[in-house]
Amino acid sequence: MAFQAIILCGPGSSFPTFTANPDETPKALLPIANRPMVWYPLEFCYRMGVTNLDNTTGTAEIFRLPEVRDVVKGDFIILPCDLVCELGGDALLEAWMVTQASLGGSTPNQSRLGHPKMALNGEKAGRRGGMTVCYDTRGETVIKGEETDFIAMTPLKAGPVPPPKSSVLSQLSNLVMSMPTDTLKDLTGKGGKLSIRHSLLEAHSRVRMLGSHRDAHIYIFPAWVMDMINSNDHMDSIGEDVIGWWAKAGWQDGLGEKLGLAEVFNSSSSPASHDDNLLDNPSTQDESDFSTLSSTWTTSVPKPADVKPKLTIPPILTYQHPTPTPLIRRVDTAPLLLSVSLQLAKLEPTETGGTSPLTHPRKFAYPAGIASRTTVTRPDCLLAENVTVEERCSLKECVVGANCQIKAGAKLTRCVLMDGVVIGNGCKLTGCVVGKRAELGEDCTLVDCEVQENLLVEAGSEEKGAKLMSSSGMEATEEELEEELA
Amino acid sequence: MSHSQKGKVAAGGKGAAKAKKAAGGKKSENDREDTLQAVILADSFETRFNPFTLETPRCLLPLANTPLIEYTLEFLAMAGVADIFIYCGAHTSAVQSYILSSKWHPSTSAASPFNTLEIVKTTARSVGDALRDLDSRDMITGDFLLVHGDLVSNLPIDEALRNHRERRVKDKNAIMTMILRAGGLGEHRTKAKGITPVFVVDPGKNRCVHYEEMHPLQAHKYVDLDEELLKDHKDIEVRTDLIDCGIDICTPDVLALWAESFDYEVPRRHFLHGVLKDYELNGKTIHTEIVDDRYAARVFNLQSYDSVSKDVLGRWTYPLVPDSNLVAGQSYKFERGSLYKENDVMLARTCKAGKKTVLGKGTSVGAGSVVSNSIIGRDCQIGKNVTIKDAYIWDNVLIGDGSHVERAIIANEAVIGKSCKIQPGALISYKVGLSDNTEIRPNQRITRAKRKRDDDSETEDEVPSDPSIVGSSGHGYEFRDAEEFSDDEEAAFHSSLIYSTQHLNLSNASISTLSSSLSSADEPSGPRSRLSSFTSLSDDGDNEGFHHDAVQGILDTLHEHGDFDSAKLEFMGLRLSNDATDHQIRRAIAVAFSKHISQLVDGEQKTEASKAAASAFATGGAVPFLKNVALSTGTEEDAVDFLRCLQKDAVNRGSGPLVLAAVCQRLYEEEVVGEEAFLRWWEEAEGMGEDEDVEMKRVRAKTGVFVEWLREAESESESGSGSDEEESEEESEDE
Repeated sequence: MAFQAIILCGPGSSFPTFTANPDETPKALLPIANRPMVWYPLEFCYRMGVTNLDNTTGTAEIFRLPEVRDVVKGDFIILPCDLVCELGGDALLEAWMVTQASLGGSTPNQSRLGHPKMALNGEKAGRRGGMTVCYDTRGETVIKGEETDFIAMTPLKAGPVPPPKSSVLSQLSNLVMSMPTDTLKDLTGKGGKLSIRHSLLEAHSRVRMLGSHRDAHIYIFPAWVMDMINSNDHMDSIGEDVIGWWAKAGWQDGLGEKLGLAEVFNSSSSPASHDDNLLDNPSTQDESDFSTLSSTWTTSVPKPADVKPKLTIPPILTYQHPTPTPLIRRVDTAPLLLSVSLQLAKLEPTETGGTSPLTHPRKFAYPAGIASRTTVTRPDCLLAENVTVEERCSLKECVVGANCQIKAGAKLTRCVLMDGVVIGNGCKLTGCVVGKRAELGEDCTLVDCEVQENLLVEAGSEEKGAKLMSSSGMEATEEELEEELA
Repeated sequence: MSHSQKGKVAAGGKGAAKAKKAAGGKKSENDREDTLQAVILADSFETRFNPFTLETPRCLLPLANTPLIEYTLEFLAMAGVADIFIYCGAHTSAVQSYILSSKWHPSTSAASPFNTLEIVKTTARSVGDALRDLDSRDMITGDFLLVHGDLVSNLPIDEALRNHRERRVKDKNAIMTMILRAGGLGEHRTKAKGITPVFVVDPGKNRCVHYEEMHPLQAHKYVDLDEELLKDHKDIEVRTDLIDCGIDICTPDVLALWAESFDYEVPRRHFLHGVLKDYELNGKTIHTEIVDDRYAARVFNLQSYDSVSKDVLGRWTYPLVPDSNLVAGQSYKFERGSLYKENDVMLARTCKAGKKTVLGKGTSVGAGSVVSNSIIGRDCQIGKNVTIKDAYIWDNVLIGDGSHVERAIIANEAVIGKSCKIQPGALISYKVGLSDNTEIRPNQRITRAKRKRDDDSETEDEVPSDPSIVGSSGHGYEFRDAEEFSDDEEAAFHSSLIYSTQHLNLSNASISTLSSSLSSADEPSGPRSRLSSFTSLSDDGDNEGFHHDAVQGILDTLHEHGDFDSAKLEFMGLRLSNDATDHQIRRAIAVAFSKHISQLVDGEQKTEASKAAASAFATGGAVPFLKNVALSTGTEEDAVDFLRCLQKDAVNRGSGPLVLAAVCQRLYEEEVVGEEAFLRWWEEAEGMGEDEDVEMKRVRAKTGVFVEWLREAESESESGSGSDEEESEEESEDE
């Protein structure tokens, strides 16, 4: 059995303008650069070679649901549905395997070398660790209100051989703290001080703290994490609780016991049964510890049974994405949706030799729809099927969804139009996100606005930085509209 | 202090001359980069090298048989420094005569690489005083290097200096650059032990944004970072792996800052911490230059003396190694197995002078002796069948036949008799004599230094030898830290050659609580055993000074109905300075409360015991004080111990039984001590049966009612507790 990937799809409370009706438009189906959001993590899994997928909603509690427990059998990957990741998942998986799950027995048992934390030899030398991914939110453009996490990490001990340049290994660190910035604010609380425990500094002499990075919510977990979540009812979210506690347990003596990890590790699901989950290896290969066959190693004297061995917490590593390209981004607010869509629109299409996995075959899916006397900048615009752009229009840095109609004289700059939007004559839109089937009357001027789906914007409206949503009185008309469309 | 006056006059004259020169140099503000000035703090104003520094300045202590200041001056010569100011505190004349006779002073030696070298006498009692003095002298004309006289380094500072100047051109507020050596992720012998410096650095800007020190004795086991700091710096590193070699490239602004703050005494814990904390106020930034290669370390205590010596012999400090023969007249040769040997060393044919060993000129080692990992100075006579291991033996030392020296330092002209045993950590100072068959215990410090009279006069008295330590024909006495020097962690971490925390009462760091339901049961209990509270009663004898002061302080607060919040600060300070254990603290608090209350009861007002107890507990902050200081760990053992202290003290009071009962009741009502602790204390006392002291039994008799009530309250349902409480109150008043 291979890896399993679980894509978590929430209701999308962070997009109030566009997911007012989650049944019709769940967050996972909002378009990013003319593709539904969930396409990106699915495509990511496909590229990574993971074909065993689960689509669910919720966070850590879902791992207590019996159906999920039944489904997840081995090591697994968790992805958010709002992830746009240009970086190949195979690179991440490779890094995890190299550090946490070496091909059975090919490396000497490191516990004898004085660092038992790396779980080599299958899980003979200890449980496998996990891996997370984080990226810097400070890109070329600053996006207002983007959430950040407070992440603290410590460097890994450098190996004798430097990792190859192409590998992500050089960017791996040991995670020691992770929490959303909001939680950090709660912690610093009254005194305005963040207190760092001495035990952390005693355990790790270099702790790097990043304030502008964000946890991408890509998690590669070994199978035992499932048990840990199940034995700790207080863990609500993966990012904050599971990762947070695990990271802390790595340096706080006694916390691992408190989290019941000792029982988790000694539980009936014996390590051996997991070994073959990993790589479809014949299990015999895993079970033989080649290092014991070597004459250079002396077999250690078995410990007396009554001595309780110190609990070793498997490491949780984090891959810190160093550069803005290739893109890793979570899209969970409208400004991010706008910015990431525009960024993706700039990718070279495959017809002119673009190689990015996230690019489209063509920039303009339906060139015939663009009138002759109109400007649509090719490098940074992306137009889907059946888009008509009338004369004297100007489109700069725009992503236009299928079946949109842009009428004569409209000027659009840095805008995202979802499917079926109608833009009236002479509209001027800058930095706007327009929902599905919305219709803008003539001569509207909107700057940095969000327009709800199915909304009719009156002709001549002028707004700046507003969220145009149907007021409660208009709901009836919206329903009528839907009926009409249905 | 007569000599200080003279010093000032002399320095004033020099200062004037300097000022003229400075005026001339003013016009060439731009090319001030050409001449680099350096300030050496030859005296650290610390007592970490006692007893040796009673008689020699720290910078003249020999490290691998070369005085420490030689290493520092070599470093400065390599750095291209032109003008040097050496600040001395104690033993200025010794430093002066050494420098004048060395190759370094430009007026006496043509080979000196420096333009000027000035030895500044000062009456300073701290580094801060010295730097404030320097500021007032107006000798510094541009950027200067500030180093300590115990620096050993082969770092080229060119790059750091260039970066510093570039920053300085861009931003006038970049006032200082610290050179720090990365010590790697793992253990490192040269890393500071005990007190760990914590540098918080913004790696993108090479800026140090926060500094503090942590050590296991701190009650607050956290490093606090300001929220603002996290907001301003999105990428910060908290580093405890850095070796602080104390090389600072400073601008004259640094001196101005020192001058502004009179309370700054030491460069890191006060100055660095303070300036960084006041960044909002002064806008000054301090930068770091973290280097990964070459060597830099300070010999700032005996442990680092040990580790740096080993680094020197391991040739990490090359070219500053013995066979470079830094001092005129040295003739060291590097031989197989890291043996550094000078000419004219006499080794008996059957002796073994092993690896990583230094042997100075004129030293002889007798037959059958074994010397390994040790540094032996000049003209030493090592007898027959002597074992010397990991030891530092300075010049002109005599070691008798059959003696055994391990991991100790023996200073000049000491005489060790035959078949002596010197155990690890022992320090034997100048001219000490040990009779035959003497045994020196681990970490014992023996000196013959004259002691200054208390009345601040210049006369010094010979201290009589202590035959119980040095033997009948020996010379010397055991050195003990003077009261005034034993403040803060100094004594705990720095004064011994071997780092150990065994003598310290360290409490375990707490761990994160998951949620209220989980935390209480699983909390690992402290290292104290159940019995330790019994045994600790017997060792009340030591540290009487602390006990007396602490009791007096609390009593004052109680008498004046003062505020315990301020008293707590004082109390904690007292605790640190005396290295008092938790038990001593509890005892002091128990005694103070019991004494105060019984004074009220027996005094003229004849207050009732329960009312007296209530008034004591009503003093501002008394209850939190008891909870946080007396019973800081919150464990049952400590509460029982506290009760036992109260009981023991009550024995000596006329109204002891009443006071004890009243205090117990108050403790329970204010929820300072839980009922489990009361019951346990009672049961343990009852359990002693015949063995129990008659007095102790008498004293606790009155409390029996209260304990009975507690038992009943526990067994009964909670509903009736209100009326019971009243009842018991009446009862205790009746008695």
